Amino acid sequence: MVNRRHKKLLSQFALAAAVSFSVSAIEAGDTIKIGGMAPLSSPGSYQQGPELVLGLEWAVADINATGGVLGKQVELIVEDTQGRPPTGATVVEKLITKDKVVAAAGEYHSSVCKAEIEVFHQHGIPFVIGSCWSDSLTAAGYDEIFRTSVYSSKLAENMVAVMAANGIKKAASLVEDTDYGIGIAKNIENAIKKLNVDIDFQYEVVEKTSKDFVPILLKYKTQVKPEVLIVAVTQPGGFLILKQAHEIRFAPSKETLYLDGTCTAQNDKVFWEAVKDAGNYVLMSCPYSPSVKLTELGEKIKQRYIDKFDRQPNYLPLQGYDAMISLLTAIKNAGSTDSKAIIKALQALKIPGSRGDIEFSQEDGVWHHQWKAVPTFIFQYTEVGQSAGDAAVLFPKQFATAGIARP
Amino acid sequence: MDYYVLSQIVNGLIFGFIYALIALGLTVVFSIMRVVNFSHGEFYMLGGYALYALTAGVVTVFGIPLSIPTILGLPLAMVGVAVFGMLVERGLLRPVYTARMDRPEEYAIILTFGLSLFLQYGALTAVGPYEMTPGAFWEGSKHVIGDLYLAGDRLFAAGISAVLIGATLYFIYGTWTGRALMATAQNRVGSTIVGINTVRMNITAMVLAGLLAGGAGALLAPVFLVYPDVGQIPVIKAFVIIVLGGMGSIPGAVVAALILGLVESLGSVYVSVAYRDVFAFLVLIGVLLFRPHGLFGQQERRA
Repeated sequence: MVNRRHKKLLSQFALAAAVSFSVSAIEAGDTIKIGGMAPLSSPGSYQQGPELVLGLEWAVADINATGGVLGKQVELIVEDTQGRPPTGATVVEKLITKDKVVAAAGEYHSSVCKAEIEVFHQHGIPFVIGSCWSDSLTAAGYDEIFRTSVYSSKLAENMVAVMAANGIKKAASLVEDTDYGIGIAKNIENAIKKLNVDIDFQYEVVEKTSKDFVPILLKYKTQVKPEVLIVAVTQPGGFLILKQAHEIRFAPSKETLYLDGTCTAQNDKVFWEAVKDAGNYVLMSCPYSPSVKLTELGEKIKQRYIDKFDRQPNYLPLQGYDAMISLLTAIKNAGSTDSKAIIKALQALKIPGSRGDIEFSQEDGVWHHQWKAVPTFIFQYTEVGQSAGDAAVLFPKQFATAGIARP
Repeated sequence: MDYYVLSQIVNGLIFGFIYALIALGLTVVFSIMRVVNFSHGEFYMLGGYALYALTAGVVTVFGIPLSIPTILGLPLAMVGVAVFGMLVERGLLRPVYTARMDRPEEYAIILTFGLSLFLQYGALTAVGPYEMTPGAFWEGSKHVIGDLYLAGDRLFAAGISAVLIGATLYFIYGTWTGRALMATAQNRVGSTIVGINTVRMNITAMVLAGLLAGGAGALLAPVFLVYPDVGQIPVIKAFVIIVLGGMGSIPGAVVAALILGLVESLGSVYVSVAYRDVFAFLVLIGVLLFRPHGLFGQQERRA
């Protein structure tokens, strides 16, 4: 009886050893491992995370379809960072020390990115930020950190430029209690000074998990009376603010415009399903416009998305794709998975991305390792249920199709 | 008092009624069953999804899209969540009070916490991450007072909340079953001795909690949208409310909810909106310093 049990245990041990040997054989170098991070569950923006991951996955699939990198297939290891900075740091530590990734791309929340870049910097592993917009990330000046996504100060300058061009003198903002939200507000203040325009601007920080924003909206409506309300709160909080601003007859209205600084309105089907007629006349500040022609690669990705989901993509799959394709091309160009060689290759990179030619600036401050020419747009829905592709483009001037419309 | 302050007070009270409805189911289950139901927020979430499924035309029955009027969807959603509550009681919670385990309270905490995660991630997998809005109960925005306009749906939710709270109070204090529930809450063994079927009382409590949480979820779905973790913040507020009102005190929960609605509304504009969700805890700490058992709570005698 005992012998039989021992035999069974031995055979189980042998099987486990065989499995672990084969796994470690794969780990030893059959693939090149790349980390991917995004919020895929609560309290993170789990609505946005999967869109970003899609872009990361498609870039990896495309590279693998053409033979991979350095003669090996790329293995993407995606981790859920839940929108929590400590989770982000832990996950990155795990990706580097346990999974042995050679580099990583992705992430959505700036506050999480902020925790993650410290770990990447500590280990000297390159990381291309997928969609964290806070200026402070590239401004940290770390060699390992690159960004293909848009950044807050650029968006803020665009918003201020549009306000100034339309004679707006008073603006108010609600921003979420994160690095991203507060960063947007500070950058709007800075842009007003930098562009030397006469705009009275004030903002309030709100908890993005709140449900009822009526008290502060009522204060803005009756006491502040801004000509534009800028909201930098990710969904669902951003959607609730819009619904409630509409509900109390504050914005969008003839007197007060509504500008969505997070671009969550661009996911048109989801947006209209959630906010219904409150969304009409909403302006959006976005890193991508479906009505403006993309690069050849970008158009292919866009069509692939439409074929799969029967709706226009928002900016996230494109940003995810750009981050990952930059990283994988850099590894190819480096001819090695050595971190320093990849960083050097990223610094010298110039490739066509989905929204233009990607190259990283070597300047200091926010432009350190930032794709400086990353495109940005401001557009506006002018009909209930309108497709993002049919929305009027207001900015930049060369793509503008209309002026600001009011109810 | 100017119209602006009055508007903020009215909005706070309206929100207070909504909070009260969310908290009531939680306090009923705690007072009768001595179970802290951590999955109460997900009962709320199910109410919202049930209303959406019944009214939005996205679910088909025998090839016909289900698109019943929202007003009819409300009681059906409530009944649906109540049935779910009954199943949870029968399938998961019954061992807590049938003395089949050593640490029933810990079991209940772990179980309801696990159920909460299961339902949240189940919803994420089954219906996806995006927000949904069922049709309106009362279309458009309505003038309330001064410059205050509110969505018809929000006013409807507050009004129905008041009715449901009144009906619950009547049921608890004005009917034989309600008095039996209170007796069970006070002394389970004594209630059994005098002939009350305490198992049935537990089922009643869970059904009532399901009705109230499902009703709150469905009523608020057009106002606050429906998504997998929609119940997380409301249930945290509900916990604050039941502790503030006095654990297990039903009138206490109603009063605490109204206080919380007011404090949040006025605090948002006179202190800072950034700390809106912190006010609840500040009030809680302040009250517990002077009344450790909450506003209406009584010290429990334990043998």
